[in-house]
Amino acid sequence: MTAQQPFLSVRNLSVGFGPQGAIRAVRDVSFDLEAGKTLCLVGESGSGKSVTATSIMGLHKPGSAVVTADRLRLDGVDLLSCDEARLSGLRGSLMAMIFQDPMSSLNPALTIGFQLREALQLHEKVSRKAADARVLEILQWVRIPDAARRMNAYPHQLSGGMRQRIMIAMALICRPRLLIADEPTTALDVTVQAQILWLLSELQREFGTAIIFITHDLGVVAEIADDVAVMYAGTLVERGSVHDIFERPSHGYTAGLLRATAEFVPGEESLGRLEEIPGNVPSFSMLPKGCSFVDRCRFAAPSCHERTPDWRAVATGHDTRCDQLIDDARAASALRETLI
Amino acid sequence: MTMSPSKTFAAMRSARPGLAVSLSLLALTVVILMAIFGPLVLGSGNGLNPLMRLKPPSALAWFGTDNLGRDVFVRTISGARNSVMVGLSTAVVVLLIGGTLGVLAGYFKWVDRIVMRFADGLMAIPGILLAIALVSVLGGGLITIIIAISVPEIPRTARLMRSVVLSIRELPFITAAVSVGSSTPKILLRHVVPNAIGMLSVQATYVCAAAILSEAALSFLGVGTPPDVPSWGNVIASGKEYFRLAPWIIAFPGVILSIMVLSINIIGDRLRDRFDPRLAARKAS
Amino acid sequence: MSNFVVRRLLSVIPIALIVLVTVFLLLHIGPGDPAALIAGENATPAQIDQIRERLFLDRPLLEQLFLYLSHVVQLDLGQSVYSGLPVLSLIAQRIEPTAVLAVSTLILSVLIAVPMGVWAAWRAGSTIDTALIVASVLGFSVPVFVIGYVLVDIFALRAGWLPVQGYKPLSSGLWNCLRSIILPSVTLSFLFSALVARITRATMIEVLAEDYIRTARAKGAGNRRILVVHALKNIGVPVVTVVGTSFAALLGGVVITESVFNIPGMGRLTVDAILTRDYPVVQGVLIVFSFVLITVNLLVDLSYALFDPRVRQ
Repeated sequence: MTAQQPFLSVRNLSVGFGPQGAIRAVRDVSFDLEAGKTLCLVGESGSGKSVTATSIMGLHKPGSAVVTADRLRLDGVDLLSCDEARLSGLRGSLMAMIFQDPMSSLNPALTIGFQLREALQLHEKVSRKAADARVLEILQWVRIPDAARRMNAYPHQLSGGMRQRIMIAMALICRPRLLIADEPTTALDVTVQAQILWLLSELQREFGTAIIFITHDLGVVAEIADDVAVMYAGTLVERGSVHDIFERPSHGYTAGLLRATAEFVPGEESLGRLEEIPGNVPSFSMLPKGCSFVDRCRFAAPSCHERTPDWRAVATGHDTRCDQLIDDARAASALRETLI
Repeated sequence: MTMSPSKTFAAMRSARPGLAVSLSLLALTVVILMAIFGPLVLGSGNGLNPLMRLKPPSALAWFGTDNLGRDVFVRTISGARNSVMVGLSTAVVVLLIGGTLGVLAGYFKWVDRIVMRFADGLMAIPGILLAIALVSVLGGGLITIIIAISVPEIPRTARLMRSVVLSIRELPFITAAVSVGSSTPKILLRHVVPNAIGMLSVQATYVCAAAILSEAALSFLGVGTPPDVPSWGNVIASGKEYFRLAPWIIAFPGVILSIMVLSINIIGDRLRDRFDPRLAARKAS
Repeated sequence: MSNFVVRRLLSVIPIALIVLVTVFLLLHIGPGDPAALIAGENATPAQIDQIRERLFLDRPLLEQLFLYLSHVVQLDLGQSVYSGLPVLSLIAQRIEPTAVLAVSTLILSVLIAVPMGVWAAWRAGSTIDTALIVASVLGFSVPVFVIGYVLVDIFALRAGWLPVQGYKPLSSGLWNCLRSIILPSVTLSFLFSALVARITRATMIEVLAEDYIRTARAKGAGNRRILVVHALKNIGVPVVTVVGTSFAALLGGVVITESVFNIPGMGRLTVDAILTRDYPVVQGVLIVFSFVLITVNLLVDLSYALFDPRVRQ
């Protein structure tokens, strides 16, 4: 297989807020994404996942954030060198984003049909009739019943699940090659969540869209991810395929996340104890020297306080920024045992 | 052009409130001191001096003299006392009556229905006109002026306090108090009112400013405080016919009046930024 | 939707009733005898009795109310005590200047205030924004008559471009009329625009922070489209509302402006009637002004359906 350029390539993306970008919410994030694959960006609230996504789309309010990167390339397009006009043209057509709260993400004063048509007509010259046909088509694709009538409906007349489908429809109507989904199911209840996830994977299969799915829910990750990138306090700490991460977690934080997820084993009386990760996420202005997770990590060794570990390969395509779980074979196998 | 709410509010607040509020407080203090001590020191300014009529501002008369030779500066100062008093009294009356009605209407449905109907009806009559009519029926004098200016303001205040109470009612700690079995008067006094006090004070400033303006307007029209009682409106009214010859009669009191109202409004705005529970409720949801 | 319209129309009735009753009661809430009040200080007992009979003040209160209401419904607002002329015709004579002043102020203010408010919100925190905030607070803090005299001083007395006072009716030519109404209109617009601009700006800032604006940007919509297509409709309800609620202040300001500029409109009529204790005229004017206000607010409420689809249910 010849080495091709990855579909999305991010190198050392950093984002700072406040005066001169002093509050560094995202630091040196790097990852690749293949076309048509799903990457789950995992981490708790405040880890910088949404900021990363917003930066790729260029959606920060001008002047509010300082975004730097060595590389930010999508399908051959250098996003860093694009001005706002160009980015505007790319948003919705090449890359699209859906957000967490479908209740407030749709304009209450405009019909569904209007908003969907707009998503299309901003990028393609189509007649009203042709646009309506495309809108109908995508609505049927996202399984909206009675689509023709719904086109004249207003957002407040639809349920949360339907609204999120409309959001997905709006995002995909121009067949973008990248879809960023920022916790799209968090605000929905579990049954609807499952439907939305199924819908997304179906659409990926049909349209070949690459997806960056941001979530803090490992259950979702297990279901839809091809690759996983784990973020903590503004940086990536581990990257790998979904199998790598679940079977051989190689960072203290990833381990903590997995242990905090209950697993239902049929036949067993109790679920076992949910282990929480002690402590709190450090604030960006008071990051510890060395590995940022060191104060909460059960595998921490003295060297972890000294310096932040560099990226180290665990296996092909699986990197981590932790020395302990690689070097200390005992710790790693003990960990594996508890997870089985 | 997406702006996060927190950044928006920060932008709104930082539009130099510190300077404006400080200046306003300073201006208010000066005016109030003038109002209290001025007449004691300078007299009421009613002394007629026909020889000195319509003289422009000079070292002897800082604001010039009017058509009867009276010192406009002295009259402005003594006018301050009456105008400020009218403003404060109106605010007190409106807050007591309108505030109580509003709080009750916000909390009890049946009160709401009755009170709001009347409020709507009363608000359908333009305020100045209602005030003018009331003055003409009740006679002149400061007390009737206060009543006449208060009546149109009461419905508006009642409406505002009602909506404030409605949004306080939705807050979780009220539900908590009810579910614990707290009695209604207790909930009202202990929980609702203290949280409404903030907006009450905001409304107080606006009512005060509006009252001062109303009094001035009524006196300007000739249907306000009796001409022998100095008030800003009266002083300005006395300069109406002499505007071309002696604009200072209107100008100086007008500026002082404007500064006073402006200062009160600025402070009211700042208080509202701080206290509006509807902003808080929205942030919490 | 029609449900909403019908209900709103019906709600006018109790409000109108309260207005009428309040206006009626005005004469009777004073400490003295209403007839004596109208007759004046120098009236003889015979004159007072005459007035009492003429205005039905000797009948029981409820009967008076009933008579009063039945007259109003037939558009009979009584006769002026001073001149004997029907109140309604007195009002009709004076209504043109007031209407022209009110309408021109309304149009001028909205044309200035809404775009300025939107612009200031777009550039929130900038110098333009601060300038607008300052101008607004000045606009509703400085009394109408002070602004009026300042403008007269600059534009009429010194520059001589515009008349100092007076009113030229529409019949004398549109330009003539407008020329006499410019200064009064601008004077009053300071107040009205200030109120409208403030709300426009505040609402616009809120709307621009909403999630659906972020969605629009994520779809690839440019700034102009976001402003015009997405944001504007959503500020409709609060802005129209403030126009409605400020209309009462507008009418009050009209009275003052007519005094400053010596315009023979309904404001002057009211003041003159008060000074001559011509209460039927006072009552008549109050009723007319109130009904105009009720109508304006009705139109405002009905317009909500245009802006907010949720209302149409």
